[in-house]
Amino acid sequence: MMRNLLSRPGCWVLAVLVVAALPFLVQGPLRIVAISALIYAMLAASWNLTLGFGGIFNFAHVGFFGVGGYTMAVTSVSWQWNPWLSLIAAALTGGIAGALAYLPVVRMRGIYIALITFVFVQLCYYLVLATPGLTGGSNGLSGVPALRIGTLSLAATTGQGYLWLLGASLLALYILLQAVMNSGFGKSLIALRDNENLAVSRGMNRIRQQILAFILSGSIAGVTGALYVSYFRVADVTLFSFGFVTLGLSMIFLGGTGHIWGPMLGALVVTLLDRQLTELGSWRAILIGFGTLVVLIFLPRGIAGVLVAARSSLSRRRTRERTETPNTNNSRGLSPSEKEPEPTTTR
Amino acid sequence: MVEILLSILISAIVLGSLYSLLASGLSLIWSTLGVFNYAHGALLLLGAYTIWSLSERAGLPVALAFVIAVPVMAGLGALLEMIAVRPFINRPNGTLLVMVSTLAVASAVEGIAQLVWGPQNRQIQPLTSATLAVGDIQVAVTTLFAFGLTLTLVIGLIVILRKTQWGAAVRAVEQNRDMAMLVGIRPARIYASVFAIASVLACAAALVYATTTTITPAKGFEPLLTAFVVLVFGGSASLWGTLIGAFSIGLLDSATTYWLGLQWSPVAVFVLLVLVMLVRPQGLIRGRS
Repeated sequence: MMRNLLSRPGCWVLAVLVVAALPFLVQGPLRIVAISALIYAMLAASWNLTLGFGGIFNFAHVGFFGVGGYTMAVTSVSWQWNPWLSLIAAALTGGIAGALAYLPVVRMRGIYIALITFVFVQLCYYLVLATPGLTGGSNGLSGVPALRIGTLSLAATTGQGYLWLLGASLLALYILLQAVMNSGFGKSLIALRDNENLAVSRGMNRIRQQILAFILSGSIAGVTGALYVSYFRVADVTLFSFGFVTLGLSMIFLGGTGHIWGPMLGALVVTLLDRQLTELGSWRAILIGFGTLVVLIFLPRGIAGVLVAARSSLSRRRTRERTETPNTNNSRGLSPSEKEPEPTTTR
Repeated sequence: MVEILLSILISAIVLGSLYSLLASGLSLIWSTLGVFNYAHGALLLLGAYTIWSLSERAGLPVALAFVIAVPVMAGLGALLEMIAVRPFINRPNGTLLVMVSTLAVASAVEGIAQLVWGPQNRQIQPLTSATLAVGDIQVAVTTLFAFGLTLTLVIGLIVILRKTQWGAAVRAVEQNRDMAMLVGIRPARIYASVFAIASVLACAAALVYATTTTITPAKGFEPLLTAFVVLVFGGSASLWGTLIGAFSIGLLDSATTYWLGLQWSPVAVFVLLVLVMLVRPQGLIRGRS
């Protein structure tokens, strides 16, 4: 649906306009929600590259996000780097983390990958706690400087610059992911997911393609984590917590894994819901947990699947109505009664 | 030096018991259904809190509280299978979906535990505070009790799997689900009962865990992950392997905690895990398959 919309040039203009107008559309305390939603959308969309399109049970993505976040904090606070340079460093460390997380799973399939990548996140968690000199241990690192252009801080006027930066980044990420998925590389990932033996017999190198997917999604997650830390000004071990993993997974599966924009939409919905739930305390974890379960049971393709199915049944109905009108004119009396119940069944 | 080694060994026995009870449940689920239960830590928590409520709040003796908690936990295990496993197991990519759904349940249970039992540290009183003198070291009788309980339950499970009709049905479903259905075994029932048994084992693990350390709603995952390392280490196909793996990891855990400190111990365990997976993805101990 959105893909078709976005492929029209007018809609690209519209998307750019929406990004440009973001700071005027969302004001005051809503901005922090909007910024979180944009960050989570980037996290979920890059995660879906390996989890959804690659079909690899990758649970380590939150780890890449956290590694990027800590890279931002350590380089810009302890080492006094320019935050923009830290952002690039986060892309590098995120990519390296992706490659490292993939190495142990080279010889493994399915469930083992899920567990090893899960352990990777735990390993990050314990490493952060074990090296308080570098990472601040359980206190975390605070006082991360905001990104600035010249003398203008992006955090000025409650994060106006961050809204623009993140809106533009999300749009760029969408374009990038679409290009990746339309390229031979993206198609080979899907081929390896759907029929590995056939794909390999056609000359695809599973390990090379999948490690590239890990590096790519890892460095995107690294940048996303760096932006998160740079906006919230603090990095701590909650970046590697279980809550983050569950939250990210709920976004991906609510949105739907089959489309690039599915997890983005899921992130938006979950962040908005999550915001409503913060006052509920412990109920929040309960509602998100059981909500994810209900979505998994009743919406296997997520919101994206529902929207796409609705759209295709709508367009099918429309084309049928268009072809039916001349048909009824020269029909032999039988066909109208034959065709009448059809639209109700396709609903 | 001898005292140090002895105290490490005692701590290894306690940890090994905890890990065996958790990992044998996970192993049973894994070999029968081919899925990993991320909510196993949540079952551990629920077991611990149930025993705690019955003993500390209702004033029952711990042993009685445990006996009452066992059927409760069996029911919760079967319920978990119904809501988080059954809807997904036959879908394409079902194993991934089950992992996501059990993870979701785990985080929901953590919220429930926060709500019902609060964030405070809770501990179950040990069955007895008596100690045995071994050389210069005082060994708590509960350590030996935990060891005995573990061996009884896990070896009992091995015997049940070998000798009873239920065990044969479990092995049948494990080996060939369609053939098992053909001879009249209903996999859904087997799966639910497997979860119930695993949940009971987790309840015993909870008794060991919550008497030796304090529990909070967030403490379910840590032993679960180590139990996973045990699974990999011992190979998931045989419960004997799980048992040996559990006590080896327990030993490694307590030794590294002593020499490297509390923070580095999990790092050492996980690095070892990665190395084992690189060299022998099928586990160190050969399974029955």
